[in-house]
Amino acid sequence: MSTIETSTVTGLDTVSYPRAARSRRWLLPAGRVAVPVVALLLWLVLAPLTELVPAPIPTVKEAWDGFATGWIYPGIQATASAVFTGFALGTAFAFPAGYLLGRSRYLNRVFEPLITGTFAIPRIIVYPILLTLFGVGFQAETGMVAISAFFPIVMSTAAAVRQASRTLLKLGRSLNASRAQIAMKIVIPEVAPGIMVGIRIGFSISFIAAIIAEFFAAKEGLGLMISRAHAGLDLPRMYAIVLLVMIAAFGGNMILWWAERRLRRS
Amino acid sequence: MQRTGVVLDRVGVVYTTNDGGSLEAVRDVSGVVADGRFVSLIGPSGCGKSTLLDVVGGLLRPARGGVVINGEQVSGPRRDTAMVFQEDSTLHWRTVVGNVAFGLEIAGVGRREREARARDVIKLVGLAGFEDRHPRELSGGMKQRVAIARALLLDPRIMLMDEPFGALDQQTRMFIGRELLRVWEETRKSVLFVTHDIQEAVYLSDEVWVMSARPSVIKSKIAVDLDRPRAPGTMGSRRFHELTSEVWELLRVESEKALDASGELRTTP
Amino acid sequence: MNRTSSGGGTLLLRPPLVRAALVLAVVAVLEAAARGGLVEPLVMPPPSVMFARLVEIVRSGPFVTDLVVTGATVATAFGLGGLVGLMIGILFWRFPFSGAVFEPYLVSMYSMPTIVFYPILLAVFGLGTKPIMIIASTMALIPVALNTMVALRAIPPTLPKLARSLNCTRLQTYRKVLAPAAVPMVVPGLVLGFIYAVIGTIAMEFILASRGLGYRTGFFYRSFEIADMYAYILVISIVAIIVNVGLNYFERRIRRDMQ
Repeated sequence: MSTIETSTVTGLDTVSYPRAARSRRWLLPAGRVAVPVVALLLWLVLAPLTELVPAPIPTVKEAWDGFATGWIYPGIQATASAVFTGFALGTAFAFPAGYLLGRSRYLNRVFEPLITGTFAIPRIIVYPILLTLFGVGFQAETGMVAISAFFPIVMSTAAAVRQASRTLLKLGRSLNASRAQIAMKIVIPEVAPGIMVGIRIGFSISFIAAIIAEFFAAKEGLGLMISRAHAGLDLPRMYAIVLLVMIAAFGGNMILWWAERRLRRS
Repeated sequence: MQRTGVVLDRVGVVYTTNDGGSLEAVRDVSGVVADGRFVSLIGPSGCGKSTLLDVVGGLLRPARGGVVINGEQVSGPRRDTAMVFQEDSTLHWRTVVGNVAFGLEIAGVGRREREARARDVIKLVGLAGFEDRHPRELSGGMKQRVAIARALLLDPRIMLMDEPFGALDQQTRMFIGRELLRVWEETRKSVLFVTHDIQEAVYLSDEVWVMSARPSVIKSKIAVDLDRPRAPGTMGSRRFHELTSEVWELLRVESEKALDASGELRTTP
Repeated sequence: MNRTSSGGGTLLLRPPLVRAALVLAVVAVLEAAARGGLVEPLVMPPPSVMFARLVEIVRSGPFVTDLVVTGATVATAFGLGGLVGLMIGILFWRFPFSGAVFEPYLVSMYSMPTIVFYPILLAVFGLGTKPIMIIASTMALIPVALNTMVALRAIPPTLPKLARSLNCTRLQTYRKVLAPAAVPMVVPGLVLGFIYAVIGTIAMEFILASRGLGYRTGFFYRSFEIADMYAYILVISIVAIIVNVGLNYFERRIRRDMQ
């Protein structure tokens, strides 16, 4: 358990380079912006060398057309609704479960080995079960997303709640606070940034799960559109969707990361 | 039995250790904190002072004996006791007002009333002007004042203070101790105050209870006959030195016992 | 009220027993539901049938082939991803500015559905284990790189100072001081990297392979051999649990020996 927590919680939080920041403040943001710019330039230069990759301009134009003519909307709508519904469903189960595991040593000792022990199972292999249960479509995909989001959120929430200050818990007990008051007024606000880590990871995994599920079997969605474009050798369209998916994943993660940092500061 | 004040009646506490054994923390403690009195508990580290405070606060059920407050047996946390802890217990996401009003909020008092009352107590503890600050903008001493204000606002019969200044530096500690006395003179709550600082105990208290090493009993109760209100000059007086030496003599024997039991003194093979 | 409780009361309420009882109860309920006709056999066969199939499958030749293919892909993906991850981690530590520039992108790779690149990889490498291996190794690389970087940064500055005061050569400093100091934090990254290699490989096989454990699960779903499909899901789960438990044991031993 500990390995997973440390490795997922570190990363972005460790970015602090006082020396670079003090001497030339603009250098770091400039460097970060340069990364996608250089990648784009490389793409521009290398694209003509191979037939496997379309040039950036037709790709971006195809993406633009997707919104202008609307061919992309059904895909976005299908994927987004599966992601959001599944994520909400998974969180609705995972958050209370994680809270209870974090608060009760006994429950934790019963269930923690089950959750960490199954950590290495690729969740996608249960997708066929959902498909036999619900048939191909929104329900099976949503279920897949919910299952994928469940585990990281349970683990992060339990880990965060376990960090709640013993002094504040004692304060709560001395004030005769109810269990609900201790949860809502002490523990959850106190460990909110840690809970947010789980939300962020859970959301990212929801998105990945939806795309993978759509690659395997779906009626609609961006993942399906990519494999169709691939099968039809429509390379600009394929790359346009890939580009959009990457931007969406990156953007979503950045927004949630920003929210997390704001919570940490308060 | 006494009708008012806090009565500790042959309290004994036994912990179950993780390997299933048992550890006797407190053997037999009796005593009375009369209404409006300031009583300090002092003893070697690990002697069960905080444990005893938890029992009075209703957070821990004793194995033997019991505590009676105002004629009622303590069976859980009560409205007429309020605790102040050594560690920072401010809620970092709330302002000073939100922190001070927290106890009343849990008790279900409406927002307007509890915040108005909180502002009065904030002035009393000398935090006027800091009402809307967050704990991260306050020093350690100010955070402890917030905790004291939160306890005072509950208007308890007795304040249970568990080394509230233990984490502060010496100067802050002396200063905030004087402030505590000023507030206490105004409010005249009963106080049960845990500390390991002899001067602090004598300076603040009406009575100092000196506890033995674990399993603890009360070795001696020393009445502090220094005039009130205490002034900075009190600490230079002869009587003050006599009292602190008396406490130190009692404590020295017990501390050696405690250290000996923990192996700390066995420096030579 | 009391904080004196410890082992969880009576023998019957011991966590491992309760856990085992819960798992058995779930299996029993599924068995009863399937046998009682509550669940159609086409949706879910009784667990006893799954286990019977599982035993037959594990003894069969194709299973061994699949296991070897998957195992080899995982091993190569981990080897490649682990090596590159270590190198990236060391580079980001040695050159903090490059670390600061690239770190947000590296962390964001966690949230990327890297699978969307498979058509490109397919075009470049053709159908086979290579595209799978590459995607799995990029997944394995991230935790290795991040943990390595954090581990190296966490080394107290007195240690390199000590090495200098002893006139250590560069190689000696790395081998005898820095590496051992970083190992307790690098190992969890490697363990996580291995687990990601397993997850990535099986998930990719599930979608785009023609061999391997992941592929077989999807294959049985598509050919409506539901009992075999469940048996394969069970097999993968059991293999993954064994790998995970083994790695955790290994990690705990390393950490104990090192600290």
